[in-house]
Amino acid sequence: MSYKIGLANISDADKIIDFIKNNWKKNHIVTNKEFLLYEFGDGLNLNFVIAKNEYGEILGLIGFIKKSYGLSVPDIFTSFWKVLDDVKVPSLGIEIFNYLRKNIPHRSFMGVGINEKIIPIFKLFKMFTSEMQQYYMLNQFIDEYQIAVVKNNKVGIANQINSNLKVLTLIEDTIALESIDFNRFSSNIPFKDSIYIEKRYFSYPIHKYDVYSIGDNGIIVLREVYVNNSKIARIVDFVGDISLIPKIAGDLYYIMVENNYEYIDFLNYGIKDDILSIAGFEKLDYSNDEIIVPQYFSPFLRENKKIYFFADTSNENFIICKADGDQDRPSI
Amino acid sequence: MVDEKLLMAFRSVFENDTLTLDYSENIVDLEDWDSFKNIELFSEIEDVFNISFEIEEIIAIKSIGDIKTIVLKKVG
Repeated sequence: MSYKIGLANISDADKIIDFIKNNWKKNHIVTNKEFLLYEFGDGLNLNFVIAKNEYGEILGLIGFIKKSYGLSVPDIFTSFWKVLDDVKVPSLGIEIFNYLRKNIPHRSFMGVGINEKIIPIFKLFKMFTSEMQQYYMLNQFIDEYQIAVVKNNKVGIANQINSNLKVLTLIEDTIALESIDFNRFSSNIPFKDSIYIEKRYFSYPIHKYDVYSIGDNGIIVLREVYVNNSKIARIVDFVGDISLIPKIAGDLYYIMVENNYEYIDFLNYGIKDDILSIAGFEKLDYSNDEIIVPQYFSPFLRENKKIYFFADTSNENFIICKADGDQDRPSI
Repeated sequence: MVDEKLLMAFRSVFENDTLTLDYSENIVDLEDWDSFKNIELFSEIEDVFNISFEIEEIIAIKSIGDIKTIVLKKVG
């Protein structure tokens, strides 16, 4: 079988949509062309590496998301990776992945939400794999939890209560982003610049995010989730120096209590337990079902779930958050 | 010895004690083959022979015979 692998362009959009409809999920959010172009459009290119046969039919693809637009060499996260089941090329998926790794310029290369079964692939590539850690702070004023499951002790009850926001400021307008010099964090992996932040959290066509500035030293991003007639908030991103995190503990607790959230959780990899502990967060113990802090909300799954990732970077000090890659995007 | 160990690796991954190997056969034509088994197979062969595949070698492999050729090259 002859085939060619390359970067997709805008004219491939309809074929990619059909491929996802037929081989992934018929009503996946990315089959909406407007959304596909928003998420993956990049000038005349579409940020997908695709393999096409001699008839121009797509045999497999992998998508990717850039974390910055100012740097010539961005950090990138993968999104979607699928090859036709009946294709007669045994390792076409690996070949597509390898093409992306070798031909799409990047500083680091990561993916969140990978299937546990494919972890050996990343080992073949000599890449680092691990699982995200989930931290939470429970609202002690909730009588009956409808989203979390809290069987016995309310472990993880934070005890710092502010009477108002003291450190965080809700950013209502992207103009306020200008006061933050994101380039200061360019050595952070992944580096997220203001263009990415604006695109991901202010113009995003689906979820509504609350972006808070931490003075002019960084931002923290929350998303409220409403389910079972109850609410929680998830910290989906953090940009800045991690030493800031303990300083915002009181504000986070205030936001939680003020909004009557059952809890605030923070799924990440790279922020040390002691820093989050000082900030009032408890680390979720996946081996203990006394406390359940759900991971999936559409559809809602009242279970603890591990999220795996891979990382290809020589820098060990990287931080991955919930919204990196495609983990905070609804699938339908 | 290589044939025997390869066979054991295939049988282990495909969970089939009666599996036989036809070196001209494309891997994808093996019963129960899928992309997960494909990855598992290369990992298993790496462990069994204590070798490490290059990604380009994995990409080039189409038949069971291709695997044997690479393994022979690596184990000397």
